[in-house]
Amino acid sequence: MRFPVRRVTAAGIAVGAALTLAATPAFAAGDPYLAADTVMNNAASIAGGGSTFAGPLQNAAQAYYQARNANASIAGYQLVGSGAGEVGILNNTFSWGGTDVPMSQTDINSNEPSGKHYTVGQFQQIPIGLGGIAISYNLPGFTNKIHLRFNATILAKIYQGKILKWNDPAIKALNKTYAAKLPNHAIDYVARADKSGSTYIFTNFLGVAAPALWTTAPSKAPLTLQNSGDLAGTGNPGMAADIAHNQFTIGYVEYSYVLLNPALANGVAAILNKSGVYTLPSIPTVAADAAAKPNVSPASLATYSIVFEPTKGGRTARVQAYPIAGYTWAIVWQHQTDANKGTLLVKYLDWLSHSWPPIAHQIAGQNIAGQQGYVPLPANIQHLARFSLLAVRGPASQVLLTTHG
Amino acid sequence: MTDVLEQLPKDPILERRELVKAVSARTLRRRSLTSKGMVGLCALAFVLALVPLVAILYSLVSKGLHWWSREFFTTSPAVPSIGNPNNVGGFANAIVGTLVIIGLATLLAIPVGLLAGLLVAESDSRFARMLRSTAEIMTGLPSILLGIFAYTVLVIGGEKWGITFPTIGYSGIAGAFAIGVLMVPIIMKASEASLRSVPQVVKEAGLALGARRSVVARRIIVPTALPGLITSVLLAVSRGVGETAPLIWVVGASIYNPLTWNPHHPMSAIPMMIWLNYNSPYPGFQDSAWGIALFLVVVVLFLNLGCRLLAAFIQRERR
Amino acid sequence: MAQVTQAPPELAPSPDLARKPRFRARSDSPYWVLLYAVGAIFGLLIVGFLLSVISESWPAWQKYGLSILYGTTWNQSTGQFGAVPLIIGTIETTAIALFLAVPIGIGTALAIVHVLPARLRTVTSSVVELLAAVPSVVYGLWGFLVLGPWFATTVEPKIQSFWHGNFPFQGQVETSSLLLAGCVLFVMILPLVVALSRDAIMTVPDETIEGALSVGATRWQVFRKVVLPSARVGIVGAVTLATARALGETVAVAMVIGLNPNIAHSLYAPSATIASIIATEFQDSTPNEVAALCALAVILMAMTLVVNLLGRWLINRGAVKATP
Repeated sequence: MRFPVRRVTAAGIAVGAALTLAATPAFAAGDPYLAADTVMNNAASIAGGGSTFAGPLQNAAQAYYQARNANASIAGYQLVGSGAGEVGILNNTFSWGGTDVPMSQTDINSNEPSGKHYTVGQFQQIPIGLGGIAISYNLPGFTNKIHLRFNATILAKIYQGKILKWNDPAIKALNKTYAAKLPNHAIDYVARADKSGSTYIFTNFLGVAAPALWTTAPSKAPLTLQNSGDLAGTGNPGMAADIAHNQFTIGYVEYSYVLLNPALANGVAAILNKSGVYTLPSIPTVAADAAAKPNVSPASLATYSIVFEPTKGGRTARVQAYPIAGYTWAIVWQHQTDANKGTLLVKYLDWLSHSWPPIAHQIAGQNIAGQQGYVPLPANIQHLARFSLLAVRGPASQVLLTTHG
Repeated sequence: MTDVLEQLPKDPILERRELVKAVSARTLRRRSLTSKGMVGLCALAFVLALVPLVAILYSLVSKGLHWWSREFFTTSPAVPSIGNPNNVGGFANAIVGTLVIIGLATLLAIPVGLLAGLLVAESDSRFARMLRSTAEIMTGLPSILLGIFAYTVLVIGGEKWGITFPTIGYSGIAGAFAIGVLMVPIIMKASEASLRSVPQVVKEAGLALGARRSVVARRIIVPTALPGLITSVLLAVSRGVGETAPLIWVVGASIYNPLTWNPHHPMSAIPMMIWLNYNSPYPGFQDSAWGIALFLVVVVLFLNLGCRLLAAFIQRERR
Repeated sequence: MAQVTQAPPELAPSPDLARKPRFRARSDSPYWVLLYAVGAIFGLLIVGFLLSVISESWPAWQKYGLSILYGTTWNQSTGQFGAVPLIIGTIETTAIALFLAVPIGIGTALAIVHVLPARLRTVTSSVVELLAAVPSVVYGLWGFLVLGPWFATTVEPKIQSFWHGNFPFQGQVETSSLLLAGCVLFVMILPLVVALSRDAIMTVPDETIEGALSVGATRWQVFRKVVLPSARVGIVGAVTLATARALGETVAVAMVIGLNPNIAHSLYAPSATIASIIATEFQDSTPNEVAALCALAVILMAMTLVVNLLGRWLINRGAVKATP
């Protein structure tokens, strides 16, 4: 079956719009906070950076927001990885740090500048995006009509150097139709060279779905390259570029990069989910995975992880859950020292994490998310974002997210 | 008569000359073949040297020229979207960023560089000689170290060694500081050379007329050496425009930095755009790096050509 | 008859002069104060620069001590900070670049000055000098997008089969490798070597060359025995400068070397240099790791300094030898 790019994206956008509609009953056509979001009385300038998982979403959203908000100046989102996002927020070079993994006290202890002692309670972690991680490969002779099947066991063995060739019997067993096409060549897997939240989500998935094989705890640290052909890419864009430019490679990239890059559309893998179905990444399938675990909070791995969830409705459900997915977060200081910057920050993040009902004919961040390959945040997560942002205080302990400029 | 000549003792110099002639004649063929071979190798080296350089220029023009359009230079980069994954836009934000960063850097570097060059040219004190050797070493230092300097002092700032540094964060100011410190030794060395090249006669004439050293410097030396001083500044600017390493984590570079003239904000720069785009997964963006690289090379060559023309102008004037 | 006993009126001191000096010598000190102040500012910048790099690295030296200098593993996640693979990578790339650039550069300079027709001299020298100004990121872009693929598909397999897969050309051919980085560096420092060697070779006086030719030396003998020894000082300076540039080159190397902080087992394997690792790992480093990277920066500074001092010593030695 040919990977119907246009049809899937059209379906995705339709589903995204439908989900947006379903996500917004709590906010009536006149959400006072959202209405005030693009109104800034004083000029301010903020700069954020971090997770490349959220890169396309941030780039598109920032361009849109700044075009409509004369007093807002948001510097280009720096695609430096979740680890750098945490370092940046802790040493105050970023106004907000993007990460796919909420910061824990251990993270703070290792990343804080020397001489400082911060606690988790000094930060608010706002969910701003929901996306999937595609397993992408580049093999000659494979087109977008073919989707190789992988499960967590095989992926774990590839990344541990135990499965070395593409025509390994284990891979052939899963892909009987294309077994003959699999070349007799070494598998060059691509891993992230920098501290990455995508690596965390991927290793989390391996640990949950193949616990006997993958015994290490999920971590942002770069994975060791076992063989001489393996590549290390910097950032999701670097990973995507490495896969696109080198043959016989396989790697994990955020779905948006695959969706927007025709070069990678030739190699998207179908991954075995917890309900026993091989699923392709797409907006509906990632949404199904998130719907299986609706109550998410940044408190701990158990509460924010949504990998490998069983589909609601089981094997026979029409839309299956895609197992490698996660939320992406923005870390902000709970106590802001500059009222103007703090106001712009909370307004922007509030606008980014919400969607406007189509009836009101206005666009908020999550309305744009679908076009970039992300699932619009469910209603309860948008609530969580709003409550977290309402807790951010200015220098005089005033609430910064208000309905008046 | 000849038997008398034969009975004379042999002249050693004559003998040696005969010997050399004989060896020369014998080895002439080998030596001339070796020479032809080695000279041929030199010519081959010349050709080998030109090949990669010509190849680079060819790649730049063939892959980059077609990107040049009004839109490319006047609009900022666009965000790829589903219908339009290779919608590149332009790199206007980087052009403005370079203008701001290099402009500020030159403002910092010109006074310090020229006056320090004047000091080193005019005075022979131990301090001046120390400055000169330091400048020479600084021009050879890797520029990434200056990035560490600017990051520590301006981006992070804070309380250090008893002084409170301003925390400006990622900004054009921090980038201008890094490039400015890079440019100062270059300006210093080059301006010292041109200041020293002012003929001694002219200087002494001024002193003989009763002018004090500062007046001689202000009225005689600097105006005479002015083309050389301008050359030194242009040389430093051309070097600064192409520098990438000090800016990587100092200026807050991102492809989508909005176009801004405010140096307090993070901004992009032309070489940074190449660095950010060279391994882009979107083929359009990766290809646009050639267009940006061609522009950068043209700017740098222009500045260097300016130096060269000025130097030729000085030669003609002097004659 | 003039009265010679009295001084001529214009030389007699005017009564005004005693009271109000018409000319007061102005002090030159503001000028010197300004110059020395600016010199001091420059000095302060240098001191600040050294201080920032060294003080940022201090925690790493305290924590890991000299193990940074002899450790053989550089792994940020496990906290192992041994700089040996990076030092070796830096030296290897520079060595490859010099191995290629010095003979070709000096040969080219000789060709420009003595072999090619004189009217081509200005054009070729200008071309070479202009190319010396091309920014390094452009060399990296060309190396990554043009030279690299060509190497990986054509050149490297051919060399490997020619060498029968033996060291140092064994192993899988990769797109980013030590050999590619060395070659990109070679292309970068070549214009520098050619330009400075050409300046040095042009200073050899024509009479000396003609003198050698007149006693029957061939052109190559003239080059070898007359020109190069005379130009030795300038050529040593050129090579020193080129080495210092190659040691510190960051972006062009980072784009083509593969950033693998292990000692490369073959010329076709990816590797890493000190400067490229500092550039790419700096931003996502914890303060502990930043200190280790600054320690690397100190090592790089020391290496560059050693090369500069070595070059100066060689030049001085050559100058002393030349004087009779």
